[in-house]
Amino acid sequence: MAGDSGSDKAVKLINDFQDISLGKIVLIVIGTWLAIAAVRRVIPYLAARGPSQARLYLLGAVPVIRLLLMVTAVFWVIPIIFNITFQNFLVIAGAASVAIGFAFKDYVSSLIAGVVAIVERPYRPGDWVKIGDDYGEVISVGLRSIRLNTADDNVITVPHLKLWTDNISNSNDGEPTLQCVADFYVSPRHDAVALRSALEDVALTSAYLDYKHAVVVVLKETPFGTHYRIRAYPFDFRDQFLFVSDLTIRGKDAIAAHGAYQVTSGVAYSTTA
Amino acid sequence: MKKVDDRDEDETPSFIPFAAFDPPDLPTDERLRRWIARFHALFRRGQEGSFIADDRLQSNTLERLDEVVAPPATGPVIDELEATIQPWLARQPLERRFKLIILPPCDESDIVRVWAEQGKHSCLQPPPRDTLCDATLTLEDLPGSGLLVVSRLERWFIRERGCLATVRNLLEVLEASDRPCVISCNSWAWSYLRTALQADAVMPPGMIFKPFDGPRLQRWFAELARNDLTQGVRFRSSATGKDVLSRDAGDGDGDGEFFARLGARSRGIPWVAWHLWRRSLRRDRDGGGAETTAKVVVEPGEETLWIAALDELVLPGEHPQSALLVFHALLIHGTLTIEELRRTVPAISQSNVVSALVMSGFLERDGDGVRCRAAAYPAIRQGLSKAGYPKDGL
Repeated sequence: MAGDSGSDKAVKLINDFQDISLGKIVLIVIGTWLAIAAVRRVIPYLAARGPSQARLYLLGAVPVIRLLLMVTAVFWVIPIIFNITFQNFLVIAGAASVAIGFAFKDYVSSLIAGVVAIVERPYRPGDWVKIGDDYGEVISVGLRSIRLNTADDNVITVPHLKLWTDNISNSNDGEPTLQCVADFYVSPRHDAVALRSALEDVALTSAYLDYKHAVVVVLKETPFGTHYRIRAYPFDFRDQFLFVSDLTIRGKDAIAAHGAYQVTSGVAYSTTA
Repeated sequence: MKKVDDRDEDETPSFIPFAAFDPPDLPTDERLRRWIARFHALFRRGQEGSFIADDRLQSNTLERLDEVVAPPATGPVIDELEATIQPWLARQPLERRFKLIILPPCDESDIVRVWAEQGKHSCLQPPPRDTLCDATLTLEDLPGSGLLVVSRLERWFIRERGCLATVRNLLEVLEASDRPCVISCNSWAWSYLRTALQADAVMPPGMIFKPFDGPRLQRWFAELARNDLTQGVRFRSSATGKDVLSRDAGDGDGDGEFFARLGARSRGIPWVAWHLWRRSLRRDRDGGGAETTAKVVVEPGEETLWIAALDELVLPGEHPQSALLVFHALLIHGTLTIEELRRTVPAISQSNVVSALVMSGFLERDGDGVRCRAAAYPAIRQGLSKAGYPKDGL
């Protein structure tokens, strides 16, 4: 009798096979998959062609919409398959805990970190982030990982798991621009006031400059020379490397025009080392 | 809508504060159409044709257009400028020695210089562009006496390393001088100078003409079309057949809606509206009113100029970044030669983007240089705004 009772309970965990509508489940899964695929294609397409002000909002909406669609699908399918009672819930949760604890610990940790990332937003699609040694634009935020497109056009997949252990440096944090820095190491014998002013003009006359943000040129003396840093913002962070290149080219001209000469970075780094 | 020859202002209106400039709004149905067109443009692939159909204008000769819509494109702005400056000058002692006039770009006729010459005021000429970066100005270099006019402040600098010193020097000299001074600057250049050089710290708030909305445009174009060479000319809408500049009781008060749309599309800028108006005028090739579906009674001896619907001018969805950089540089500087453009926009050094933009009608040649076409300005501004470029304050 006791054995029969246990068997009944186990059977009740899952609905009777004839009551499970496989067609409905397949439709839900396919529908969700199609909806997610559409969201992942249409929204980035519109973001690329629409107003730049709306780009980051649109891209940031992709993972949120996808998560909502998946959660909806899961909560729709579960009652079709399982006989949901409190007792059954405990059984499923216990079994899942054992499986996760032994086999899928990192995977599930990444999934949970992915949900946290969607809520806390340490990075969003369109942001420029540095995780470990990798710096690039977040092109997609999945449930398990994000994909970065680096300046060299390499796509790097970084699991959300890094969220628990690594520092994440977000350069623009949802804003359409970010601060760019151009470094110059100059031999100390020069007119620093004039050169600082010239480097400020270098930034002020750049075609990429967002002149709504202030241009700042800072300098400090180091054992091997004077270290100048131009801090300025391009109007579009997608131009950041062109902007820094432009600042560097014209900054070198300015340094030469002021009779100063640059100390090469090799000398600089070897000296600091 | 008021009748064409009704005047609600007997006196010439004076300029208004720059911050108060409010471009006319599009009518609601037109705004909806524009949104649909923009949404449609999102899904349009590549460069689908040029945005201005030049061939449709071939039926009207330039000479005839000059007769019925005569240049200059300044409208009553020069009179309004005079009405702004004279009371200020007459009020002694002057509250502030400077009067800053900010004008939208694509002003081909240099309104403030023309006004200064009419009033025989001393006009300080900018140094030639090729020596601009090395130019130095002193108090002794200021011409004449009395009111000093600096037209086109944008001609006093070029966005290149070492070339901002001249405009800084100019502002210092003007500050050191005790003469009253009228300074005009293009709105895009002022936006740059204001934030990059804090030029607004030494200047008063800028002034600008009242926006040219529908009624103002209608009055102006009616006056333009009222001369001996345009006797018997009717300006009829190709959609409705209505005489848009009618002063006849039977025709009502003209087509105010057309001018409301024109005012909104030109953002209240008279020279942009003037170019769009000229572009919209068509001559019926067949001489039988074939371009309209409306039944129109054309009187014997009447010459009809048909007004086509205003094109929605939009930049193609995918435009190269270098084109936007060129537009931005030209809106700040006015006219630039190719060499000057290469110095201010390094991204174009190896490309033929300028030639392509001239051919597609966004830019036009101006002597040795190029500049943005006034008729393309609304589209260019929209494109730059969409791409997140810093804009003027209008």
